[in-house]
Amino acid sequence: MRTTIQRILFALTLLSILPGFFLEHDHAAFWWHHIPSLDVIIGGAGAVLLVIAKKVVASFASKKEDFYD
Amino acid sequence: MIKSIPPSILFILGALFVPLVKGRLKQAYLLLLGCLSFINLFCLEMGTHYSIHFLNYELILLKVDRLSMAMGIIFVLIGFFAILYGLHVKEDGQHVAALLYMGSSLGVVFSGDYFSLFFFWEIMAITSTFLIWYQREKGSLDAGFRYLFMHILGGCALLTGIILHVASTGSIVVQPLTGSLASSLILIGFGLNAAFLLLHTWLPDAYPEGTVTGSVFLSVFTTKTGVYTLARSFPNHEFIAYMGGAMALFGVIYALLQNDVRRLISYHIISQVGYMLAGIGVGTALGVNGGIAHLINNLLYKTLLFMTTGSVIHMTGKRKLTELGGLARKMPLTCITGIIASLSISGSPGFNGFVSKGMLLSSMAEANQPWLEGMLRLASVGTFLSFTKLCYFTFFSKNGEVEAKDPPLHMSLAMVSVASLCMLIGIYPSLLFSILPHAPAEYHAYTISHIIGVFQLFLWAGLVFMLFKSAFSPHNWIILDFDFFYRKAFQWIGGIMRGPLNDLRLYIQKQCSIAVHNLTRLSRNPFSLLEGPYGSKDIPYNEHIYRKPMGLGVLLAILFLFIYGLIFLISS
Repeated sequence: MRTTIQRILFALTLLSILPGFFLEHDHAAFWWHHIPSLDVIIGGAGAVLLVIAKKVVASFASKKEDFYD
Repeated sequence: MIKSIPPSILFILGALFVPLVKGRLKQAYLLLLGCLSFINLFCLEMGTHYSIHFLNYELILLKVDRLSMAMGIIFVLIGFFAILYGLHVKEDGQHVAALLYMGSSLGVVFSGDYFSLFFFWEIMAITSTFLIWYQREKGSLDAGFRYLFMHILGGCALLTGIILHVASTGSIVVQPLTGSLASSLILIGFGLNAAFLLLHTWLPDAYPEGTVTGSVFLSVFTTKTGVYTLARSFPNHEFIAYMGGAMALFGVIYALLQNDVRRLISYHIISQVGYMLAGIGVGTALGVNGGIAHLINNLLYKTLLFMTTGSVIHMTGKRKLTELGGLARKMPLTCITGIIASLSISGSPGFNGFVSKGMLLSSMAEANQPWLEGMLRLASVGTFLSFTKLCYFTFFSKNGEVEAKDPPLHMSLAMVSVASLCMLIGIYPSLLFSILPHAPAEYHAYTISHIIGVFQLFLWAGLVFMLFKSAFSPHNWIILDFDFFYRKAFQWIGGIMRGPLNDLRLYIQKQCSIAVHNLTRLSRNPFSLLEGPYGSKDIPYNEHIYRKPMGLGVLLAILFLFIYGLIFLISS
């Protein structure tokens, strides 16, 4: 059951790229608004970027819970 | 016709009678107070009312326009649901503090002059601190003091700015301010409440330490009055817009790192306030409307998030993601409302956040702000990831050890009501548009491109979450924030004071005591000078030691008489 849902979601994720090629941005003001399926790139690459940012911050800012005690 | 009264007065006076009513009657009284204030609010007429002449100045306690009315409506509405959520609280003090806090926040919103605003501003700071202290734990006591310290600091900056402003312009009316020392200080004062970066540390420090119901109130008023006052005094301010963009990003990165559920949400307050400030900062009609719309929506889903996490803490006694999990079956209603709040804050179609986020992103394009648009878009990815993490590790991850059930009826009712409002505004955004400051507010949120775009973003960010799930796993750690600098500095200063400085104090005190002791001894018995060096050791007086031959006395008398005669002879 769990695997089936995961497969459906994965298929939907891949399929979600397609509509972007047939739709225009509502308020296109910058050049990147004309990139097809821009939100796919923002969603995927943005998430990876945030994971990296999270790791970088954790590398110097994470401390034991009793740090201030 | 009955004239409406300032909404702040209703709550402040209402708070005084709370200790007089008991049991179920008190619950009914609290709810009635909320209802009455709502009715009173709709009786308010546009314009200026209740002016008081004070020291050659005209204090305006009630100034009603579209912006203050929009804020008043959402404050009273959310305040009512927060009261409903906290009906089980037995301590009168908590209710009194919450009502005074609500009343003073409404006082800030409807103040027409800076003096009245400052008066209510400080009541807000003090009363909200009690909502933290009532948790009655060492952590909350310490966090409460840090919270109060920061707000007093902000209050001092604000008061100094107001005095300088009044001295230079002669006006106390709340109005847009331009660049000067006075306006910079006022900006710091307002910015501290709005959790500007570097001034934000009180928020994630104190909000997770408040009582379960107190944190619901805290999440509503302080930061939002900050945003409101910035919208009043600093609209169309580029610094505020970019500060908003930076806050939006900073908040989500720090939220992703948190283990405490309420601290995670607290960092999202910073992020969401960032969205609002970006809209207000760009200053276009769509930007300001988007900022205020996002404020209203944020109040709904952020309150709901604090209610759901508060319910989890109330029912399980646990607040860390590492200790939670598997609650979806045990607390189904809390789980559903938590998911609704998460979808709302993430900006999913059908929920209120979808509308206001769309307005804000469109306003960035309209105002030709590519960097701000990029920051807000990236922050929206982080928001989705944070709340996927929160919901997953609270409700769906495997953990058979936590025993719980849904909270009592009044808490559940409050959660369901707020969740319904999140969906209602999401489905009928015209309800929201009708109260926005710039009328007519027209925005078509539900376009195919917008809906598909949001789903694309969710699906691909979700895919990254599933692929790198371990990277999002919570850990038993704390993440240092900018408060590290002053908390450590205070610890070091405390250490120096307790150590070397205290030793120096004790040494000086000891030497002074010895000096006083010796002077006392000398004045009592001048002959003790002949007994060698003085010390702290006290030698009891013994008359036999000082009993000298009589000839010595006669000799001394003759000697002094001779010296006296010699001096007299020389001087004459």
